[in-house]
Amino acid sequence: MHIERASGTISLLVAATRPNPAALEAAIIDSFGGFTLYPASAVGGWRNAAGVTFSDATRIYGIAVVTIVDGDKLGALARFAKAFYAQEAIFIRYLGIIEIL
Amino acid sequence: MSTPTMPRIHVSLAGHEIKYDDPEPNVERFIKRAQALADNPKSKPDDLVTLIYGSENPILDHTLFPERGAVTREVLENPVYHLLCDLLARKQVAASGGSSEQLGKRYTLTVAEAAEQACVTKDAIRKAINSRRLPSWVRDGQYYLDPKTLAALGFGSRLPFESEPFEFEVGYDAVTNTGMRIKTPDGEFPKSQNDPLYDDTCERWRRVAVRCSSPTGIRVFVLEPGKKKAKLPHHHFSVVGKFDIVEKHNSDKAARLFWKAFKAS
Repeated sequence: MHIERASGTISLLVAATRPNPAALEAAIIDSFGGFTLYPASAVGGWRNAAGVTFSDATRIYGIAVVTIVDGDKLGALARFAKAFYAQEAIFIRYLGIIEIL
Repeated sequence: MSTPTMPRIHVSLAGHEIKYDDPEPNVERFIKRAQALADNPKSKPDDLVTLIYGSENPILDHTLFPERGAVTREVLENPVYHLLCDLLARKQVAASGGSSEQLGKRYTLTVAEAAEQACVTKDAIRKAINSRRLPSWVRDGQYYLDPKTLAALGFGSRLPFESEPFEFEVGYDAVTNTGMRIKTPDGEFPKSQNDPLYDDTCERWRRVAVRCSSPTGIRVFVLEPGKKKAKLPHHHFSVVGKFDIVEKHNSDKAARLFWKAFKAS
């Protein structure tokens, strides 16, 4: 995945199953400098490519992007989030488009 | 002379002691407000998210997002932030009908066992726990770790990104008034401004900066892990390894300011 010159906010959606997500938050800050957290009530669940629906409570991280978005950096963060949450897929939303990584 | 006070202690859901000094009055008020909302049985986790990450939280950054607070590195180092996160974690657990005992079950490895499994020292594990890079659970005063997380994070890496060690030779040549300095996660090198030559290897890294000086000015380069072997030479100094130059600051003033503010990871 490669994204160029996007500007604004990227949303990273992860399951809210960890009481101590500080390692993920540190990784976000290492790569992007800061984040916020959005209320997740708008998200009821999701379905993967195989049609399996996940209904976990969700944490939605908003990541500020002020310069060129580095696709590799975002990919590395998604890989880390997947490993950290032992999650099958990670949803990333940018410019109104949802991408499953 | 003021009397030193004992830090306050908040014990998290995972059993960690979060120590913090008496906060400013506005922060104190905000903590009480968040605590009251967390204790309110009618409130939901989202209500707490809205409050904690909203525009009224005095410990957050309010420049990154127009109408919300943001967590930056400085905020992440503030124990009050972790206290607020714990209020949210407790609320989420209560809302899900779970318990701390259930959540803690997955944390089964002692520090010694984790160190053996990850082929690192116990001290490395403790450092990762203390820097919150490795989630842990405290039972009976002992840290326990989740074996799946330990394996998934490929622990041994300070950060979750793939990087290979790189070598550097930096220093200062008084004859030509030329120098190269580097900021890595291990510190800034050379330690002394006038050290003629310092060579070392940086093992774990994500983002480092190199400062090249000469009589004509200063340039700063930011390096991140890359796929191909590269060399950044300057006079008889150099950095060699698999990296990409992702930023350049060529203007003398901008380079100085950037260098001063830069923190390696």
